[in-house]
Amino acid sequence: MSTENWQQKSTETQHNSEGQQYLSFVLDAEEYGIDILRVQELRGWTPVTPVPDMPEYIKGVLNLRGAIIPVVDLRKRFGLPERNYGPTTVVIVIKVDSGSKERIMGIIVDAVAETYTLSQDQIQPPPKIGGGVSAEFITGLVAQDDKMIVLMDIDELMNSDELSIDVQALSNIE
Amino acid sequence: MSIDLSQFIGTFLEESYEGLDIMESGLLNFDASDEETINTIFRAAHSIKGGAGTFGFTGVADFTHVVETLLDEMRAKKQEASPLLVNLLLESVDCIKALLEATQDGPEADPQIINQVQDRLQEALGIGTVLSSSAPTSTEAPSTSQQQSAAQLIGWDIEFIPNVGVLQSGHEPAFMLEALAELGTLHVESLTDTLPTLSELKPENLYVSWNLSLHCDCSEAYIREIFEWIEDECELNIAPAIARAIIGWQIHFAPHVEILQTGNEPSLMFEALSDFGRLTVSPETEKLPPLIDLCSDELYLSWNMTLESDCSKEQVLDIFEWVEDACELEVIALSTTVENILTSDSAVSSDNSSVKSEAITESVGSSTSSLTSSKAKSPIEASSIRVDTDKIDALINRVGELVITQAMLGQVGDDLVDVAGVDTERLQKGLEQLERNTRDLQEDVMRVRMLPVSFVFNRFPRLVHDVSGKLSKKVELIISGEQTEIDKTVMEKIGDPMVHLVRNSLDHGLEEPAERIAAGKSETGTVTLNAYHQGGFVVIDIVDDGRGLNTEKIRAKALERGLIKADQKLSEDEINGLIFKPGFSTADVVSDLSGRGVGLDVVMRNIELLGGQVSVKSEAGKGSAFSIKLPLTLAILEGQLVRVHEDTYVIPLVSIVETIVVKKEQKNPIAGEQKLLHFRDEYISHLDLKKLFHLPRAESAVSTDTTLVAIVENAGKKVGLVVDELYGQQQVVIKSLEVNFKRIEGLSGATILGDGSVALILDVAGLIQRGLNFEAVSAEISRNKLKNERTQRIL
Repeated sequence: MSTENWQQKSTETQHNSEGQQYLSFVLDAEEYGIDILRVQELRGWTPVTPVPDMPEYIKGVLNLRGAIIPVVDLRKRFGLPERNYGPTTVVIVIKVDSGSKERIMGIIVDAVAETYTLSQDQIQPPPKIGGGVSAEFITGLVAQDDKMIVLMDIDELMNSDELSIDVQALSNIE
Repeated sequence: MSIDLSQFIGTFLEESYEGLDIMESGLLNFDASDEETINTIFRAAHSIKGGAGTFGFTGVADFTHVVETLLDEMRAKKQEASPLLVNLLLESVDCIKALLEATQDGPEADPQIINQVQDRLQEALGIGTVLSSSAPTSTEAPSTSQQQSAAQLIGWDIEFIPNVGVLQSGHEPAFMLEALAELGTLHVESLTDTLPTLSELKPENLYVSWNLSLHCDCSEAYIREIFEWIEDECELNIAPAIARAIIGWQIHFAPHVEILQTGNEPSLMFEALSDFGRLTVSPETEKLPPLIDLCSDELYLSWNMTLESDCSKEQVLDIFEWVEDACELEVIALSTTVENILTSDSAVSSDNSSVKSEAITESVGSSTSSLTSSKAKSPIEASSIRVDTDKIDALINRVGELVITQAMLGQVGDDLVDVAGVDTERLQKGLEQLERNTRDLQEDVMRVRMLPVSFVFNRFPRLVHDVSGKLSKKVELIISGEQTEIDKTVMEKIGDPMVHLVRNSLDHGLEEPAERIAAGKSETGTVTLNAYHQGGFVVIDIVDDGRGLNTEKIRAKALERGLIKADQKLSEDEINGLIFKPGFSTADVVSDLSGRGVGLDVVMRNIELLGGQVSVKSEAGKGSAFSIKLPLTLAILEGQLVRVHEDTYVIPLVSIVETIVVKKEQKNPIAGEQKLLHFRDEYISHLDLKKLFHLPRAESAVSTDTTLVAIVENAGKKVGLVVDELYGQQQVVIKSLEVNFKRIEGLSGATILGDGSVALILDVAGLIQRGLNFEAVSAEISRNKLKNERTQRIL
């Protein structure tokens, strides 16, 4: 256990010194970044099957080569104005660490922007902000070419609210 | 070179459990006259012991050792297989199972029980040995020894050394040998050591002596009779021929005369043969011509050789490979028992084909028991392979994907037909073939998960044996249809509910022998297990010929428990169905067998979790029949595709009673809402899926004249689901929503349709619960309110 921790720390520091890669995407006029290692693939928008009784931001489920994955509209999740899905609309398929297991999920974004290699000292701590995006989902802010990129903790985001796994229900199944 | 044994422990355990099952079924069908049964049981115990020793489970190994010893004595007929002993062995099987489970983080085996059983085993062993040593004249013993002697003593070895002068007294040894040869098969070896040189040889003297081996079942006296007249003039030693444990080959090699001209040298072959083992060569000189005719480059000799070696026949034949065409060659196996020589010899003498390569020993050699054992065992070994179920599931998933891809391609192919100027015939042909192959592949892969239901049924003979013993009832168990195949997962989960139902039949269903006789039935009750296919389902019936369900008692009980109202009118079947309600048990006395508070409601719930249904039919005094209907597999579902709003949903076909079009006037409004539907003398409540799922109701406002209703049933409750359109029925592959998402009430999963889109599968039980709960709760609340108001008013 201790060695594992130590290894984890060492890789983290490695990341910090060499810089960690982030994939950035656009929502409205804002640019967000997520750890690129969590990104499994990028897909064009295809219609999803709505699931009844779900909050509006959970658009439904999608067939990802046989696996059924939930798809979340980040605009709606963040309370941004709605926008019709177009040819550039992208579903980013990400791997989410949900404690006991890893879940594959999709997030709908306006477009994918760029990849950045960022070192720890470029990242500023998140300020306290209100609105749809609460501070717990944000790990930091980065200024890049006069733009601000919001770095997000997708584990926190994708395990919140309706997306959280009901521990009770899980143990019942087992 | 240390091998990590731990990786084999799983295999060992699986095999051991299988072994225990074999032991159990063997013991239950124990038939003392059938040696094979006891041998099978013994082998199973033996391998468990061996494995346990290897993996260091000394507890298991030690215990099993005692069991094995006892079985060995039974096998050797030193112990009589009394029912008591069989029961003791059955208990031992349980102990071994408990010990094995204890090694795998299972509950600790109760040392008291283990020790107690072990002591009784030891005791049984003690009695056994005393018996066999003090009373060898017990009925079994002589026949055994006779059997043994018959098996071993199969002839006589005779050493016959006549005096030199026997010929002068008118005796002719050749006649004696002929007489012996009439008794059986005779092997003659002439000893010519005493033959003097030619110059000293006197024609009237006999210088030869013989070693004879006679294979026959005659007595010694018979042989002595032949030598009676010469007895005084010879040395005669007759010894019983005992089975020789020599494995080797008897070779008769008669080369053609011209063999030397082809450059072959027999002596080199002998040398090569002697490399394999001890070789005895005796030449036959019958064909030797008079010296005058003898030609130096021709060979007149032939040889009889005995090779004591464990080399294969092929090896022997290899040596003679080059001369094969230029000789007569017979290679006969000398097997472990002389019996073999005997039979093979007789076969040889009757058939003088040039090269006898048939393995005679194979057909006649080994004792029949070992033959049957190898026959009985080999199919199991040859026909199964252990594969992780995860691998199979991955395969099934992949094939499911392939089916979808194939459907997509088919769609594309169909679209291309309409395009002018494109010849799609070849494409269509290929697509057709692809479809056929994919369907076959899917079926085959699905079948991998299927196992005969006998895996579940096999535990019942033991259960019935034990339970009927405890209840002192006489029960006959009839099992049929055990070859019906069912998904492994379904099978694993159906065991417990079935045990419950069978115990129920034994405990509550079947009467005591006295009661049965009084009722004019045979003393022995019957429980029948039957499995068969019906549509896409497997049905398992559990039928007993007992007293049947007591509807009066059930009604009273249900009333007492508040499950029904006093004035409620119920059909017999409905009353019988009440036994599946939670908290229902009619046992007068709570026995340790059934009626532990875990009632049939649990059975029903478990079966419904599997997507199955359970029902009961009963006739007072004649018996009751429980019927379990199960899906063939959990991976695939027969579904009715329906449209609700803009989306496709799947309703499991098993739940659908009927789909009907309801006109507005058929709906019965209650308090202004059209909630009830009159269907076959029943009032069924409506569940509007759109409402339930909070979907937009735009379309339904347009056409309210008729509604499409799918009447579904679960746990005896019927509900009408309002849908917008019916699509086709098809098999769908069930995908979990929980893997990447979470459990959603009212949905049992999702599936992927032919176009690659996702359709959600409705969980009828959940929907009914969800739909009715609300109504029931609200109804209850209003009733209570009314009641309270009334009581208050009275007060």
